[in-house]
Amino acid sequence: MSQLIRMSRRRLLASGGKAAVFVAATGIAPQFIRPGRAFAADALAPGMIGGPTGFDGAERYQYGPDTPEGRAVEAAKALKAAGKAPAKIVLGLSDGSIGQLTKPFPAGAPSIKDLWEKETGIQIEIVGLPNGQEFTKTMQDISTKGGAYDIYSTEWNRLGDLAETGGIAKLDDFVAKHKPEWDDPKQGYVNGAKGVSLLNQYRGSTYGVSLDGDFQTWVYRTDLFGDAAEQKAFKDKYGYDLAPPKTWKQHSDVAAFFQRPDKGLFGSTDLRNQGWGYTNWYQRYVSTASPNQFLFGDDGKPLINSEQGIAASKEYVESLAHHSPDAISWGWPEQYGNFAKGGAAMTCAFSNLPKFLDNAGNKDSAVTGKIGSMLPPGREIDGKLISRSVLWFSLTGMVSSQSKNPEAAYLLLQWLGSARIYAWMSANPGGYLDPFRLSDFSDPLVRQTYHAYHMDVVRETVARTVPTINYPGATAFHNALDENLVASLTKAKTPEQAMADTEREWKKIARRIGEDKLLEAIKTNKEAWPTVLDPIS
Amino acid sequence: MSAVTATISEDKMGARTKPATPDEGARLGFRLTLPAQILVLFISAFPLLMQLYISVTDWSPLSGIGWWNAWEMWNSFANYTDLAADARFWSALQRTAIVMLVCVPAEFLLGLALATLFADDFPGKRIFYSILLMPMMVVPAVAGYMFFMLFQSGGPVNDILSRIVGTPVTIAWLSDPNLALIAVMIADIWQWTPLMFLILLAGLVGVPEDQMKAATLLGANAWQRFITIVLPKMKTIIIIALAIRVIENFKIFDTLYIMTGGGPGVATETISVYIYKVTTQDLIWGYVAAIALAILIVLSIVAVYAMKRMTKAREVPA
Repeated sequence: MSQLIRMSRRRLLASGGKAAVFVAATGIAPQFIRPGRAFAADALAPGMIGGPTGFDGAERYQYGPDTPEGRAVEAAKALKAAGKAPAKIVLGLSDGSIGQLTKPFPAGAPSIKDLWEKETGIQIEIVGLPNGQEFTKTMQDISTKGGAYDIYSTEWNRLGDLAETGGIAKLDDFVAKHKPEWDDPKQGYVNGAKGVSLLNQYRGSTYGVSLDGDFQTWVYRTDLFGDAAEQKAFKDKYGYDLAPPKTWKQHSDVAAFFQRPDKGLFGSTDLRNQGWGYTNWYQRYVSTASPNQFLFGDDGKPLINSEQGIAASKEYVESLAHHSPDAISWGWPEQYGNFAKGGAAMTCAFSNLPKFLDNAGNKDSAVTGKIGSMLPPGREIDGKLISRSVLWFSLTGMVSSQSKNPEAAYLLLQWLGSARIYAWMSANPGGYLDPFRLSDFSDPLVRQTYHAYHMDVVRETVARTVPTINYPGATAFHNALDENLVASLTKAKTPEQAMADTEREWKKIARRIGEDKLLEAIKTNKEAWPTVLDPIS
Repeated sequence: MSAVTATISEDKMGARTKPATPDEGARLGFRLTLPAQILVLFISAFPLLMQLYISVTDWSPLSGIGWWNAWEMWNSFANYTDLAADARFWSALQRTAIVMLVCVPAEFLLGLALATLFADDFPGKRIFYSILLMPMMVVPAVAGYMFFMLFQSGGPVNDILSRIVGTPVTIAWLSDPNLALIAVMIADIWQWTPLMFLILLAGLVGVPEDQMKAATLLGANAWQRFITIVLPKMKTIIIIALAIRVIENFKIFDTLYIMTGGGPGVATETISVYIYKVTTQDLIWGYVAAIALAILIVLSIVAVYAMKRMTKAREVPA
């Protein structure tokens, strides 16, 4: 035997001892060397069976076996062990949201996709869908029986339409079996069971899992509103203090005051284009009665061709004076771009606007550190302020009826949409999926990404948010309203004509869909409307 | 020996000879191409029959029944009577016609003028030629967004106009129902004049040079040569170019949709945009099938007319 590899027992023991000390030093000592670092930064916290590791505070997103995430992962693993799980789950997802699943966040963490794959052994294949085309692509797959996806993700209010096609699977059995706890009072959906019914269900059955929170939120420029000269000039002109507007009348005054197109500044750039603008009409319309002005009566008859509808439309048209001359052709890319360069005093957008624009990493933004959030403007009725926003777009995951493994697909959705994973995912700045669960608003990472000042206002905005139409024919109903509103914006129709024409078209759509089918859905939708009334201060 | 092989003989060298009679040749040709013909017939006839079937029903994917069971929602010819009374359909058709009547002649005249310029050699011709063809290479969706930006009120188009007139021009092209269609047509002319130019240039270089020289010697001026020799010689190619652009213009979509989405309101809603909306938003596919069939008939008439003109053009000796 060579002298090189010959070793005495004493030397062997000495080497073994050194190795043990080295392993202990590198494996255990960091907890003592870096006392501030959480145990979960390197491993799962005691009692946890899964979740991210590798960053401070990771234990907040870890889960035990008796949690929705834990049950989803364990069930997926069991399916895999029994040979009943697919090798991969194909998920159709908006291009703009993919980053939240694929980019690790924060530093040291795994990506959402990697974590699921590591824990379950089931791959996720993400197929990007062009933003705004999610529903079209979903319908294509359903109608052609393409079977390209296990999971569709499309706007929340298409649930009724898609359920009627038979193209998405009813998830009731899976919900009963795996208990997602969406109505948990502390970290579940806003409005508890009613919120779940609104976002995930159609005609009493679960068809989707909410993965987004597109509650339209108002923001303003703090540098303009806080400027002493502007404040004086405003008070001199309008007789009251310059502040984020609480009523639509105040909003009109403030917007008119800051309307300075020659200086590249517009009063308010809440959208007015086709496809997006009508959500801002909604806010004005639904706040014309206490607690809400509904779109349909209990008998299913449209209520928009009314004094309230016409007044809201007139106001909507008049407000165009405080927008860009191109407002009718601006979508959110132009809106965000304009706000980033300081081109607007106020706007109403997805709740992620501060995440992207009040961001030191965004060198193109001239408004970093200059954004404030406010509740939607409202109206004084019976001594109370009716302030309402609107839920619009908001992606929901749905299991395709063509999926060969609907249970595995559902389990992925349950895991993604559950409190711990969803908070971690929505905090990720890599995409558009926004916070919507009660637990999101207080989550430190979410508050860091979206800003604490904003999250508190978003939470209050959610409590004042009405849903858009989510029953069969949703697209057709919205389209009819949208086109008539744009026609009134371009003076092709008067507000009176626009509302009368919308009513006529809505009646036609309702007849086509089946009025009896709509009544139940209208009732369910109404149950989720807010009742919050604010004091007039 | 089979009938097929009976019609073919081989000479001493083993080469195939022609079939005995023209009739036999035709029969052979028919038999040989029969599988391909059946395939083509199936490919073209099946969707057409399916479309016809769906068009006489109220079928929608929302119904939850497969299209093959659409007969359960049979509505006779209600979709066609609805179509006849659909004001939005007719105004979309009218708008499409306006786009066609403006864009196709403009593209033709510009294309012809450019082709005439490029028929002769000049310094830098290849470079200019490449530059001229570039718009055609741009993806229509990209062109749409480019023109969306160009026609913003603070965009380059207004900037150029401001410099020309000397005062700030802030026209909101795409927000104005009267101007939005003009902006769309400008984009279409920009993008598709090069195609017209390319086709017409091909026709122009094919005009016999000796006839042009002879006409010059006989004292014909440029205009006379153009009218009496060039145009008649290019008749077929002109009809092809016009037919292509008329059909393509009828289907105008990508650029327009990106620029205006058919708006403001329905101010730029052409027939393709209307169909897209009814298909993807209203989801009333029985009605969509009826519209599509009506359009197919219109386009077929255009195509048959163009083919007839082309055949006639070939028959007239130049």
